[in-house]
Amino acid sequence: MATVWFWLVLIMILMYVVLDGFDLGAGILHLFVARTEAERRTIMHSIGPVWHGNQVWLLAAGGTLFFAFPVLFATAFSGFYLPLMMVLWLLIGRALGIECRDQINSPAWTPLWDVVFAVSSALLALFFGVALGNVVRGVPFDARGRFFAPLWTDFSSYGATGILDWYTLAVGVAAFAVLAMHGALWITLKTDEGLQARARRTALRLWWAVMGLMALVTLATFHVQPHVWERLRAAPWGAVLPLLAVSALGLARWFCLKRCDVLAFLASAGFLGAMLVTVACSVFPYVLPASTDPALGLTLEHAAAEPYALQVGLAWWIPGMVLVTVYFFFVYRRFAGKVRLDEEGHY
Amino acid sequence: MDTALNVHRLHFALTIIYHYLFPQLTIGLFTNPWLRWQYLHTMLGAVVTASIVMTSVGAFYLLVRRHEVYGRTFVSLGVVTGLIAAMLLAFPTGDRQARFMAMHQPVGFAAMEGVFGTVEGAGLVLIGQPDVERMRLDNPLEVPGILSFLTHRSWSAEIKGLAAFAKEDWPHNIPLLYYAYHIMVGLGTILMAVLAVATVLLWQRTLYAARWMLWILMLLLPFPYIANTAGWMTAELGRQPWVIYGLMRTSQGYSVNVSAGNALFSLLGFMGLYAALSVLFLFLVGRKIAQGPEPEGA
Repeated sequence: MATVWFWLVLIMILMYVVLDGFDLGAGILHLFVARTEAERRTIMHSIGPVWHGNQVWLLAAGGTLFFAFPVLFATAFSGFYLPLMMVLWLLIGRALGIECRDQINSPAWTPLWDVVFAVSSALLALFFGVALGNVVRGVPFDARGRFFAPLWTDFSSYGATGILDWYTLAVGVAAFAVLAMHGALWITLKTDEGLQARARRTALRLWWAVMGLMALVTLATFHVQPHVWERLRAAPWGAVLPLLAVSALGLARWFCLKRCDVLAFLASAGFLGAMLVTVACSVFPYVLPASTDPALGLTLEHAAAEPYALQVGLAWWIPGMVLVTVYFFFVYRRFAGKVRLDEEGHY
Repeated sequence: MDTALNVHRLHFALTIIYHYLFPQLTIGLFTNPWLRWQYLHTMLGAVVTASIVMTSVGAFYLLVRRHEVYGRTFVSLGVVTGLIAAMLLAFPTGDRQARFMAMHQPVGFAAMEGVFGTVEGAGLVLIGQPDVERMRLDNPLEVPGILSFLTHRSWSAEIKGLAAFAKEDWPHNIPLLYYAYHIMVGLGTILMAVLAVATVLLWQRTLYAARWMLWILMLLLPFPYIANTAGWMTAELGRQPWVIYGLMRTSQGYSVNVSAGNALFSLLGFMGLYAALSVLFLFLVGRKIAQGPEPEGA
């Protein structure tokens, strides 16, 4: 049952990364890709009806984590206290940016909120990468299974680690590039003419950055966390999943060049999914490894709630997910196709 | 514009519905008799707040003689809805809440009512300053027998004071709890009284011309917010020193590895952010009120 919930939580995190990933990416890029107020408005409107729902996946994943893996939740949320608070501030910043910008139509108002939105989006993409890096590298557990991660120590990835070190920063930068590319593909999909051409060029340029950074981060991961390499070598999926990720990334570029924008976006989503599943499988059976003594790491079995609770939870998770699926289906279908502004610039 | 807004509304409604159903059904809260009263009480608090904000904006429009058609609707609807909700807030929901409190958390009850020694036929304290060191209430203004009657439906029933309980089970901050509770109840009573007078004037068809009353209604704006906050503080302070009443003390429930300095960092961060947000909120809402409810170009 704990393993089932491991996958369910992973699916929720994955949905978050794929869905909020593109609006984070669009948030990062909208300052650079759009040249006029109308174009910027078009980008904002492409994510306007969906970003809020996308973000709820993060909340839902957090809530599910609390319920299914209370030990992990308690350990990680107090251990990562400082960066989590900053993530909250950044989420508030994003919401402010997107909600405030259209309140007043003035050159002394709109640009301010555009910058707030872009900066929060960019930092969030970086932070989520850093968070992933921390989970892979492991955290400085003490003998009682507790930790409190300072923001940084000596930037070394071994022993008494902080949130930021050269490895987690590299993952952060890679995540930034990946989500920016994902966002560029979304903008390409939702717009046309000059804006679309610019977004496509940006996506193709970012693709090279993603390739380079991913190669670098993969090598660094084997170096920092030998456990990952052993797990990947031991199991048959160890070769399949990374191959899937690489081919999805290749397909994203291919489709983008061929102007099959929906497929390009889906390939990019597939790349995100394959990467995350690879990471999750290679960290397993740990849910939070230790950077100090590997034996201190938190395992799935130890982190899970009582079997009864997990069963009851499943009975509620399923109808909840059905509702969510219906809702997402409805919203994305309702707002399918290119964004068009009418004369007043409304949807 | 409309569709996106409607989708947001739908989204919000779905989220809220699920959040209200999920915890209640799964952790047995629906079988908890306290829950429905607490739930109704807080929801009515929200209705009173909305009514008074609407009334206040309407009164402002009538006073400055702009958007008067809207102003009259706002005031009449707000005053009547607000009065009904405020009465339900006091009885039965508030009454039931207080009696549950007296039954299940008698220490917190004694502290919030300002009862130090056990008394028979306890009076209801309207005003007074708790002095915890000397175990007494300074300058008390009481209505005799009422507290006993409200709690046990008998004028001479015994109310246990703080002295009857072990000091380690007392709430941490008794004066703050006492004041929070009295501010909530006091403001609630005053709001109800003002709304009742306004409703009488509305009945007599003189409310829109009674500028003194419109002034009062306009100035009511901040008070439901204060009453709500004080009510929340009463619930949380009254629950101390427990996070889960009778099972887990607050001192057993906090994150031991987050130091006070780190918690202060995030507290200051949130205070700063919320201060900025409040200014932004007042600015934008003020602007909306100045623009008026009529659609552009009308």
